[in-house]
Amino acid sequence: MRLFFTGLAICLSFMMKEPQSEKIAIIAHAGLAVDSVDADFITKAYTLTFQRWEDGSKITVFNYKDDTDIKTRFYAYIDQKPAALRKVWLRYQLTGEGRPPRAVKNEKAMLDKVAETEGAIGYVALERVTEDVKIITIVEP
Amino acid sequence: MNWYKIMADAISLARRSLAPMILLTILINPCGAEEPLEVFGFFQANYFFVDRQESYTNPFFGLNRRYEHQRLTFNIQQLNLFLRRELSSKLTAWVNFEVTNDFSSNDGWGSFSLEEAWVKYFHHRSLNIKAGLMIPRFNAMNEVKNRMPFLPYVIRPLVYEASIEDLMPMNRDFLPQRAYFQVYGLFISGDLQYDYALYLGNAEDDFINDDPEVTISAGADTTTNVLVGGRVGVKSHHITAGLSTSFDKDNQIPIGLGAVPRFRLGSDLAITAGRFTLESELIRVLHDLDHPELSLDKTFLYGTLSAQLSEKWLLYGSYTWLQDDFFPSMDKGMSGIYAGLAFSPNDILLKFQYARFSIVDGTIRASEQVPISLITNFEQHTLALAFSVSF
Repeated sequence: MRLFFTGLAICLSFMMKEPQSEKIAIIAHAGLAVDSVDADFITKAYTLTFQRWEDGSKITVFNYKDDTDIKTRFYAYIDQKPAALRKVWLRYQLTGEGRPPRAVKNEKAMLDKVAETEGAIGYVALERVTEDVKIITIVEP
Repeated sequence: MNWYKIMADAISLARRSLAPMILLTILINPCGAEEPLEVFGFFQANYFFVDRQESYTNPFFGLNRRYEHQRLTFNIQQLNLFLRRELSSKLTAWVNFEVTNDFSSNDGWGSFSLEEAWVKYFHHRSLNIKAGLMIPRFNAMNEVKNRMPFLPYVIRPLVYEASIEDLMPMNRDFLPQRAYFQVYGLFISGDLQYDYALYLGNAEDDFINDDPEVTISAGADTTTNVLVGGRVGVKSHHITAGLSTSFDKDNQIPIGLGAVPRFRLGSDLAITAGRFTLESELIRVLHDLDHPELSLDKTFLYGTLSAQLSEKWLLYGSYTWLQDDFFPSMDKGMSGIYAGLAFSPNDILLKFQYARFSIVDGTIRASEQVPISLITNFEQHTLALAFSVSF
């Protein structure tokens, strides 16, 4: 019996996926002069209240096109409901005062876009962060 | 030449020269432009069923006239085309063309207009300067009253609804329609955001020359009157509130009262609690009139309670009321009750709305056109279905 349970435990440990990091990294273009920002800044950037960094350069915000787990957790982090956020973006867009976040398909595209766009910010799972971008905040689960 | 005349001339010059310059600037790819030209827009298609009943009575003369009217209308209520370009890190240009009511120059209905053409200089979020043709900041809804994908309504609160101007041609008296220069910005202190706006514009549209035969060019302001206005607002996570005001002159020359100084006072309040949002506005229009027996003053209010049922479904109910001391039958006010549902699956917003407008015992005073005073009762039921498509 003991042998059976030991075998079962070994099998299960192989079958179970390696636990994913639930931490979210808020990433920015590697050339950004800013090294860290707080949750309030991220919220204001995604609600388009802040459209410029302190040095006057433009903040380009990226977001995911489809509803994903990381998007849901990010919205919870910035304390915003999707419908309310869409309404905020629409008001800015339709009055010419700003443009909504640019949509990307997946985390690979997010990393690529943030890496190539000056002043850009986005978010990915911490474990996926590459050297091409800089982490400015880590969101704990 | 006083300051008032100088400002009026400057605004008139801006009106005639700045808008075409902005159009040229935005369409020609300028060297060093930060971003490519963005072209986008929306249209809204409407399906209306209207059932209207009116009665005009004068018990003293034994007069009692009743009218009933029903109609079913399909139309493209509105199509807007926006052009936006970030010319540099500090400058943004914006052009907004608007087409309304199935516009056809051949058939002579609808309209095509340049609604906005401005350039914005961003100094800091606390100081932005806009020049050109723009919709000024006045209460929460004025800037977005024609942005149909943003609004759950098919029929908007009374003074914001252009399609019922046959009922209320005084609508434009409540709102500053356009400005030519605006300074505005945002200050942040802790969890609170404070916004402000100050603007200048022409006299009201009634003073604008629309006769190409006279020596003043068509579209030019024929007065030295200036619109001056502003707004202050505060926003927290759940509450937004603002106070607005404007001063200009009301064209009452046709009825012998001249250009009457006019003050608009507005307030708006929005409160969000969970899935529920309450939005409301109040506008009071006051006139400085030399005739104590006459009043041109007006009042408007609306309140909408909405429930975000899910990410895509919104349910709302509204009450709206408008009163005019001077306009026939509006002395006791017109009220409107709305109930509606909006569904937003993606870039399409589907809307369904029921609206009931009513006037109870309004007065039409005796005049040259109406020889005896009349009591008006009016009721209109409207069922509306619409969809807004963003492109």
